[in-house]
Amino acid sequence: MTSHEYRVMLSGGVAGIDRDVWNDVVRRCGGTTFYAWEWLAAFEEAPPGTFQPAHLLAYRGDELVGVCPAFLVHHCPRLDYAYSLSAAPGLRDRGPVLLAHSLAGLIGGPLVLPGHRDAAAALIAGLEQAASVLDAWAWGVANLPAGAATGLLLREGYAVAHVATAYHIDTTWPSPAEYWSTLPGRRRRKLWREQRQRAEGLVIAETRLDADTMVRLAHDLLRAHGTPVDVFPEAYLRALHRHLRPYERTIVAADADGIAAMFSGWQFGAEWSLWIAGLRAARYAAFEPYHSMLAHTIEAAVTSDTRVLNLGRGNAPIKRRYGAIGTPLFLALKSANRRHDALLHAWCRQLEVRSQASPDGLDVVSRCC
Amino acid sequence: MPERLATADARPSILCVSGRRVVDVLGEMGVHTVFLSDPTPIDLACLVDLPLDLDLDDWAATEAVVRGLHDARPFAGVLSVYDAYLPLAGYLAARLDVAGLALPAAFNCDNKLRMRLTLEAGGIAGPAYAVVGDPDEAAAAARRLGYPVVVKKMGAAGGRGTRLCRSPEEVAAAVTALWAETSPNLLVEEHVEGPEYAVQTVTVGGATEVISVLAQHTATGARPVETGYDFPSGLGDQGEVRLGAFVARALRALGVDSGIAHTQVRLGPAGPAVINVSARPPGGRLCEVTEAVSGVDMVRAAIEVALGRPVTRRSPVAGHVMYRCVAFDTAGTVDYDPGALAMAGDGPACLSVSMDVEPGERVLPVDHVDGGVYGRVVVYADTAESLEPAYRRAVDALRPRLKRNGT
Repeated sequence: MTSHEYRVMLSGGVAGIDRDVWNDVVRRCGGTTFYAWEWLAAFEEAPPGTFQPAHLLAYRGDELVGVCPAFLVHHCPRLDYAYSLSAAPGLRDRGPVLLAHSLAGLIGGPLVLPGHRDAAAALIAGLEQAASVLDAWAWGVANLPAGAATGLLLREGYAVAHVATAYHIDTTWPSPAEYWSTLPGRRRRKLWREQRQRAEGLVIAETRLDADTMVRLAHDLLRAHGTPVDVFPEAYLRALHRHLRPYERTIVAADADGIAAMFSGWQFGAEWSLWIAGLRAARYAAFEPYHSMLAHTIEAAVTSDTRVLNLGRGNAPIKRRYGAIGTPLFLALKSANRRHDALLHAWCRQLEVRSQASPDGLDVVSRCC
Repeated sequence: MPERLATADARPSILCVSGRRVVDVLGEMGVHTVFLSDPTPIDLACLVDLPLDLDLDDWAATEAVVRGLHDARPFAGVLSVYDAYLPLAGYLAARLDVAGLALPAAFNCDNKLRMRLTLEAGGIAGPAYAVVGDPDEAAAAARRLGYPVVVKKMGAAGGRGTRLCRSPEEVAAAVTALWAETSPNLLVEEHVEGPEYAVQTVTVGGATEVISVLAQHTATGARPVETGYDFPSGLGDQGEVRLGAFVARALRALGVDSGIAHTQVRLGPAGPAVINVSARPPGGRLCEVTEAVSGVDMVRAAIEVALGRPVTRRSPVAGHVMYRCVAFDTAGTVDYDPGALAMAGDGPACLSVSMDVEPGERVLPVDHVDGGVYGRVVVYADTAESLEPAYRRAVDALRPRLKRNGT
């Protein structure tokens, strides 16, 4: 695949890609954990569904200048749930779609080095060509943040739905005190009060978590919300835990019986992405330590090399009270057929209506976040 | 006894989700019209060939019904001139594989964030903006962008979805007023200082022709409603050509490959900036003005594009137009002389006077968030000098006036 000065290559999995070269490009592009070679390796090892790796790499000459992780999705519980919201019958039955790269990540789409803006267009064109090679009836990007790439896809006629919002906090403050001073005084005092009252008897700390505890707490919380655990199968969580160990940053709340709650995440480059929460739900049904853990996370980010704290999707009202800014995340899809494209547009319209009916996006307590 | 021969109805057929004016023109053009509405007003039902009352929010069900009709008598195209139904019309056109506004274009014009993102990707300038979900985010965005700012709904809501804010308090009030549970995100935009222009276009096969450029007057209060227009625009031939080329690029970026559009552009300190694009005819009496100065009836043009016919062009009948809206500085009960509504002008100028309210109705000031304009006086003339005297005569005859609240 070529696009003027850029050559786009299709890779059937990260095993065939040099980890250091890939991660170096991701870092220089400002990419996050969800683009890391290790994230993709874990996803390929124990996918939460049936995914065939189909990553795209953009080269200028012999230099890797952009990446676009992607999977041919045969079955994905999150995507199936989204399909189920469509009034157009049979979208799922049309066959696999090529998606860059997963609704499980907090971000997706092409990532290119500064000065190589056209490489993003080449990767998008490559996605279409790869879809044809792989017999995907549709192709697109999941959780694409509002920005230049979204505009590019809108311009190309992609069906687009705002399916979620990720919340970020700028953590480049010199000290926690200066961060807290940015919040209105009344709100700050109220938040501190909530942190104290709800975390009584709990110790909040940043630590590394063993896989058993991570899986148990994550699944406890999912079950407490009536969410099927197939969105985070045990093998998938264990694979992520193992592969992403070098980047792990987890905040826990512990009581006399051990670890009661967690915010599990990873820092890759300057962004610390909190990806999954867990809770001993039988004891703390209302996630009592939430405020204290969030405050501790923010302070830990401010006092380390973190520049951006990605708090992920959901719980928007609380995150906003701490000064988090929302970034809309889009699902964008296209097909080679005008009539099929119309179905995708109609579906995206329904997804967006559904998503915007909730401040948490596309049904957070069900299957999509 | 010889059988009576059935007369074949060879008229082209259009599927239409529009209003009275479109139906009238379709009738004049001899087009077989299937009319979708929810429900169809009785006067329109009498004018079209087949009125259909459908739940137009249920696209799949609507498609099922019109597909059956299309199989029996194919539609040449699908047409809407209402913002709310442009995506549906684009969807039906795509599903039936007939002429109509491209569905991505309909969505890109329907949602202000998509419009901004798409235009940015196409290298088309617009106001700097931020997506916000609550008053705190909006206040932070306004601080970053600098006052004044415009707070607007993302979906098409006309002027009622837009507030011009000059302080944090006004931003907070605007967010509270515009926020809706079903549409929880708003845009906060930089207010681009500079003159504004309304550009009317016809696009056929991706090629855009500018058919009128009007200088636009906009209220400076909380609701930036349009209060008047002038033709010529004052930009001169070169300026209009540059503006037209800018608008054509914007439409191409948005994917508008066929049909008519009304685009508002401000000439700011950094150059032209797209304020809004509507893939439909403009409101008020701007279609009438455009036809007078260009010879192109935008509604007829939309139908002709959908039918694949050349756009009808007549000779322009006016070289100068002064269009002023009737608005009030205070709230009250309106009164005016209805006899003025029949004025047609005399001598070198033609007049069109209309009011949207009856004498005795309540009106609000133009800078009130729920206020607006309540009528229009439009003067057509061959010379600029003829405009002002004719306008004065019309206003003197109309004598719009208010009784203040409680008086």
